[in-house]
Amino acid sequence: MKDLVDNTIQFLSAPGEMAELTRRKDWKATQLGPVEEWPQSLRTIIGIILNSKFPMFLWWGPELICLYNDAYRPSLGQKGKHPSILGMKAEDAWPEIWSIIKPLIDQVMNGGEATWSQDQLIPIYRNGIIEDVYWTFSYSPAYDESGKVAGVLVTCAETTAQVLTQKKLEESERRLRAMILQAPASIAVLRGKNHVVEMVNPRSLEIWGRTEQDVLNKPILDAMPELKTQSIKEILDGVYNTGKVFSVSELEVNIIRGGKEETIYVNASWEPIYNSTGEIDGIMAGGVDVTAHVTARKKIKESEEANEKIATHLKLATVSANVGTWSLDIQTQKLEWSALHKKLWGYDEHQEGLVYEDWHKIIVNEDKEKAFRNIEEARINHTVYDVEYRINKADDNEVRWMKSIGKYQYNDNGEAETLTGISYDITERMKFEDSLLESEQKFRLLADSMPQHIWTADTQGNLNYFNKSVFDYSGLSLEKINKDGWLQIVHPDDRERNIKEWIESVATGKDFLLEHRFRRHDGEFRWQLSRAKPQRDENGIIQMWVGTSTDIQEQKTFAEALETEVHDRSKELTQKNIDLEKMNKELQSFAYISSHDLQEPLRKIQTFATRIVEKEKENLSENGKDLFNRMQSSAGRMQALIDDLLAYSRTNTSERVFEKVNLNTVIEKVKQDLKEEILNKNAVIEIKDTCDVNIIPFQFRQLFYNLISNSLKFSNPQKPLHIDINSEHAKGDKFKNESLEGNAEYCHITVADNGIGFEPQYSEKIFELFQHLHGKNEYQGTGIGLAIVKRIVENHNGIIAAKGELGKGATFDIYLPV
Amino acid sequence: MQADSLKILLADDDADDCLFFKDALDELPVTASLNTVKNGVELMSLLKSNSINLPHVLFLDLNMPRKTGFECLSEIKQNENLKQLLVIVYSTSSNPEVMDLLYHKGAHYYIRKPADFVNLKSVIHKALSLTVQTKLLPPSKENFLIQP
Repeated sequence: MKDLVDNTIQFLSAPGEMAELTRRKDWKATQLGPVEEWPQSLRTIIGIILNSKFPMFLWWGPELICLYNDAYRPSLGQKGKHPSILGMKAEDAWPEIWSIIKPLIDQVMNGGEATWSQDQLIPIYRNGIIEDVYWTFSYSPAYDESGKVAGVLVTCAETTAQVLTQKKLEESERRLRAMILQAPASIAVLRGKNHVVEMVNPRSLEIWGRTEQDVLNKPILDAMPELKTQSIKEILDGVYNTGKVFSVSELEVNIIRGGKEETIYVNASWEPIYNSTGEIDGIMAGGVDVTAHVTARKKIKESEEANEKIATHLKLATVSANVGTWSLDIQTQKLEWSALHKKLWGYDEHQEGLVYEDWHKIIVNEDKEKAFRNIEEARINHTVYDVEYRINKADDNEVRWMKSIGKYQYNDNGEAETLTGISYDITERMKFEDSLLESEQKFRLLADSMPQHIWTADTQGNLNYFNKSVFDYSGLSLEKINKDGWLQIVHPDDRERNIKEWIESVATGKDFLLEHRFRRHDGEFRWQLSRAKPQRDENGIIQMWVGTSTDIQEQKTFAEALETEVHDRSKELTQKNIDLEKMNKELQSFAYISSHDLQEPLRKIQTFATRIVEKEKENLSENGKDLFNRMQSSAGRMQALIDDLLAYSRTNTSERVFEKVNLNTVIEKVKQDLKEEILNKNAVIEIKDTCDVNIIPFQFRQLFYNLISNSLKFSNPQKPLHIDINSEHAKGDKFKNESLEGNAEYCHITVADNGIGFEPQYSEKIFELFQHLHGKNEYQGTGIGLAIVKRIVENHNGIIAAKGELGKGATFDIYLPV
Repeated sequence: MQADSLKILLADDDADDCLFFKDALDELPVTASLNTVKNGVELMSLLKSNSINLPHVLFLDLNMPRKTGFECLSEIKQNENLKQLLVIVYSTSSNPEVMDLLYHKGAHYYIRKPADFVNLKSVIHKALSLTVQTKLLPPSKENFLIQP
């Protein structure tokens, strides 16, 4: 039995843990039953399994009892299924993966083909947890003695470690790819001898000026043909063929970007990529665009070159302009002087080691303080140092005017480190300025000696100079005028006009001319005539204004007085005229009213007288009668006088209505009025030509009445009276009267008689009021008749003249304008 | 004759002139009754209160107190009851313009008070004769002024 046993369990004699466990296992409790009863096929398979170093597992029998070897054992891990699953039913041993493996097992059990699974994830419970485990395994059928499938042999290898490694590899590649894609540098992978773009990151595309579509999976030199001529092909081929890394800095590449060729600079390197067989099958191209950097550096270089040029120019310029340059080290007091500067100061060109004191000591004493003060002020206030001063030249002591301009350089702490600047000789200019000053002084002396006010103004019209006369007159100081303005001198009423005129002149360049009043120091305003002329340069541009103001108070006063006098006189005359007219009117109305009112009592006297004569005639003596007649005669004369006076005054006041009338009709009426007298005198009135004239009819009736009455009155008793009346139209120059206008048309009316006439010297006097050439007793008359005639003619704008010859007659010539 | 006697109204403030007029009238061979008023106001109130029994003729002085002859003439000529009244202006004035104006205002005749009493009688006589003759015929400009 022992032998049997021994014999029977020979297949379990293999060394190792699993052989041991299998031997010890109480198989009676399992479906397999005691080992001794196991079929040969099982025994054979178990023998193989337990002796194999390759991981193997067996599910046997309908219940698929689990058996496995030492090589398989690690796959179950610690604290897992080992060793409990030995002899367990498959379904109980692998519940977590039963759903995965059942179909595979069934396939094999049902006589199907063996399975093959590579790197299959089959998580199992081990090491206290469900672990992800990758397997490469094969399920193959295990046959029993009858040739039927009695179990499933699992040969497997756990590939978890390989799979995880692979996964890590893939992850790292993915990361690398992402890194490449996101890298700030440009990276591209070119594959094969044609350098096909396999991968390219955005930065590369950016540099290349292409899209991914433009280049991906294309030979790079086809995608970017411009590179063919730029030795890129040589570089790529070189790397590909030799495997040597090629690196370059600031490589100039011309790239076509958006249709334009651009020059860029790149730092680049090309490295070969080896395949698994160690052959070169690609190139990794990496690069950084350094164009901005290169350009900036180039610019700096250019500007440095330019600066150098400028410095050279400046040096040349300072020398040719006789400008010395200098620099003072504040700390050490050392002075750097250009050769020219030294020369200007009278030092030897080659003298070295000059210090501040060498400059300061040769400044003339009066200017030393000024020069020093300016240096200090510029330092404290951070302003430009600018000073003009005199020096005694170090070599010959000659006095020269110098101008120094400089600027401090400060360190970070704000302390002055150096003062650098230029100096040049301004002696000539100062001499010129002196002469200018001298001439200006002369001008001022001259101006101050003038009695007129003299002033100047700038082109904007701001007054900037006044001579002494202005200050003397106004009593104001220059400060006061500058402070409150010159306008304070001008009379307030004249200011607006003054400003307006002045602005006008300044704006237009027209001479300024104005009469206005200036306040004198004692408060009196006096009239001034101010003139200002613009001073122009050779181009006609106004440089300044020079003005004068002259006191014209006397003239003005005189003119004003004259004006006032003339004004008063004309006013007086006007008033007199008005008075005269008024008086005239009053006189006329007086004449009219008085003569009218005089008539009443006179008429009554006359009436009473006639009553007495009529009724009391018998009671009067002869003498009384005579006296009574005389009284009546006087009363009669008085009445005539009053009547004539009334007529005379009426010629002026009456309405003047002109009518076109034939003179003949007027004369006929008068003849009718004087019918009796004409008859009494046996007079003949001969009317020759008469024409139509524009007259006031009743006045002309009066005129002819008076003239004919006059002829009747002064007729010669010795011969019958003959009156000739004639009229004609003619030009003024035909008549011998200088009062007539030659060209004007006149109507000439003549009334001539053969009466007693008058002496020629009375030809004017005859028309005056109350003129009697003859005794009252001989010829009755009031002396008003001819005055009325003259007045009527004048009312018609005409002229009347009288010609007389004693004893022969009188002629009246009337000229009326037509 | 008494029945035919002319009723004469004289408006004149001058007592002397009224006396002359009366004396002259008395010496004339006419039968007439003379009534006298001293001013324009008196004249107008008399005429208005007695418009049915108007005088045949009114001798009107111009220069009267209170109401002048001009004003009276205008009132008379604008009054329907009085406008037929024969008005003879009796004035000192000899101003032709004044005469013109009066003619246009409707006066029939104009007498310039004469200085001579004989002439006075003459013009009054002529005026009265004209009054009877012309009656109410419109006056003419030529004969407006009655001369002695």
